[in-house]
Amino acid sequence: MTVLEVNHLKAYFFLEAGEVKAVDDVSFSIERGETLGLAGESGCGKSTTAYALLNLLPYPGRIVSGEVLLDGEDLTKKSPDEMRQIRWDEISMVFQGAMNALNPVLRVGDQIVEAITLHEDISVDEAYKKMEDILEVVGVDPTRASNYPHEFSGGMKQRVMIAMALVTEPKVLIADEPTTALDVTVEAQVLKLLKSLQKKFQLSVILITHDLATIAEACDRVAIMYAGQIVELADVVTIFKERLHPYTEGLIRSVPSLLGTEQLVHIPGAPPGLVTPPAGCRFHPRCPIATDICIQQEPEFREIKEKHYVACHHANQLWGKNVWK
Amino acid sequence: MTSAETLIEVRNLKKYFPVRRGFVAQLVSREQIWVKAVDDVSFDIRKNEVFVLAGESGCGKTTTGRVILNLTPPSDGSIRYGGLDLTEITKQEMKALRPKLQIIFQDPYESLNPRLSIHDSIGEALQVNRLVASREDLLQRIKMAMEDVRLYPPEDFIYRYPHMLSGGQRQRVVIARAIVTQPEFIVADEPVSMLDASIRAEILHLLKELIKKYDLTYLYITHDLASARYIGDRIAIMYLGKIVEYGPVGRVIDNPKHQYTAILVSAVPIPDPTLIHTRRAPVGEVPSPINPPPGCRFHPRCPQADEQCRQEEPPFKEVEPNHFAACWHWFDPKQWEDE
Repeated sequence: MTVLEVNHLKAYFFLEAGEVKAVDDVSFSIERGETLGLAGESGCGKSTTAYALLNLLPYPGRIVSGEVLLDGEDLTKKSPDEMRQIRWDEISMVFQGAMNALNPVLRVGDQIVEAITLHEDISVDEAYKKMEDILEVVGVDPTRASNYPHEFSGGMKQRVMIAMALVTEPKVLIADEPTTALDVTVEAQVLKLLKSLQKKFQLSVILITHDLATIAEACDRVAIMYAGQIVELADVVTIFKERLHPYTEGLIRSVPSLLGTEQLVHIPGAPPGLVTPPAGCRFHPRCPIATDICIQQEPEFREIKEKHYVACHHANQLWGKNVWK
Repeated sequence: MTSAETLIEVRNLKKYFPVRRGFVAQLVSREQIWVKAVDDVSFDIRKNEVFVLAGESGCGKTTTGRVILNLTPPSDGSIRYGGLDLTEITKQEMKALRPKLQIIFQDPYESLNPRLSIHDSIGEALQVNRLVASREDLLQRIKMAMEDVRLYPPEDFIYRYPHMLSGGQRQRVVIARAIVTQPEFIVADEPVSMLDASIRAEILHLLKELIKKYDLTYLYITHDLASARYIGDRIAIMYLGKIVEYGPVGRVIDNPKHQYTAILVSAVPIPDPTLIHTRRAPVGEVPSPINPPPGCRFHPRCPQADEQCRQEEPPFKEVEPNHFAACWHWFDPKQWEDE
């Protein structure tokens, strides 16, 4: 069952220097209970996509066109008041560095209770009970609810943030780099927790990260973003074993593995500016196999095999080839 | 090992930081409290190798790197470099050695002065240390360093400011600044952790290439075991101010013997979804370095800990040639089989 469907979403920032096309025609959907990874380099638009889904784009950004359908209802058409109810109730978020988003002068438990009472019509006593339950679920001792954020470690604070995001039992959780600032052992704990909560609540998760190893560990499907667009979308095994876009190929071959790696690849150059992105395929200036058609014509984001989408003119010729030497 | 020449010899290095307390607390107790950031660490770094110091945040790896360069004085122990003990020499002598001992920091956005052009950032060390005779000479040396880190052509970059460069280019400026004085030894403190994956590989290759070109030796400090394996020759794993295991990087990762190393290695995500493995994490949290646990420091979180671990500190034992671990109960993969 599809929970969230994003169709041709465009979100631009309107600056004096021009429109920054941070998210430019992005489409994907997410099923109930599924984890979708959104991966790409910094500045590729993955966080902007998350903010756009929540209708939370900071000024001067706004959604230009497209739909975000949550159970068939278009979130881009909602008023700010309606959105405030939908956020947290239906679609929740844990942002990058979220552990620093806790209010330092309020007790941790009180902050969670505040979130509950704003969204549910229950008594304060019931809210406190609920808060203690959710802390238990995320593995934080409920007696620590009366502590202040500075008394918690980074991993514990991240657990509290996850508790807060899930206490209203949303359908979709957007997690933007939820473990980037954490040590690997803590990251392993947090992702394991997320996975078990996902089963428990039949939660759909959009996991945004630049760390492909984490994607490989935690996701069912993966969307690779480049310069504001999704260039490849498939299940996680296909992305890692049968990818077809040269950018995906370069990105995955640039990551060292703990098990030892052959020579790593590096992609020359840097991502383009998004005010005037390159014509044709946006990746062509850095692509080792670009031809004239790549410069002239934007490749269509098409389904090349069942549920495997690629935007590359040369995708058909790329089976099993390493184009980066 | 005697086959390779030792460049840096660290013995029983300690760095304690005093805990500042409030006025009342000082009245109640006069006893000074210390954070034992680095607590009795010894190792050798061989010429032209990449020696990796790895561990989680707060384990003391960065402090160790800073102490070795004498950027902060150690509380105890010795650091021998080229027949000198860096902990005993005078400020003048240290100043003369500075060009030979360099550091590369983690964050290229914060380690470059935004008001200095690339020319001035790289050239500063040459001028301060009076390593150049003339302006032409200075320019020549700066350009050479820029070419060696592939900021090419140098004319395009030399009068730019940091904000005009990408993250990868900035990190190359930081590396150029480190190599311009022709150093012998560089501490590289998480040099790629702030960079995007596609750029990371390039910087790792560059660091490797410079070893030959400049006859360099690195102390590579990182929390990322995957990149450590890619660039490193030998590795030391730190936990709570102490080294718990060291040896050839492939052996330590493939055949960990300390219980902590084994868990740390298992926790690292692997970029291959077809590989089924369990990411483990030690129970609980890292204890405070003010009052580290007695015996083996890892015992409160270790699944194999017993009475001996709680009381006696384990000595280093040779697991296999050149691979040492300080653990009473060597890790055996069978431990995890029945789970």
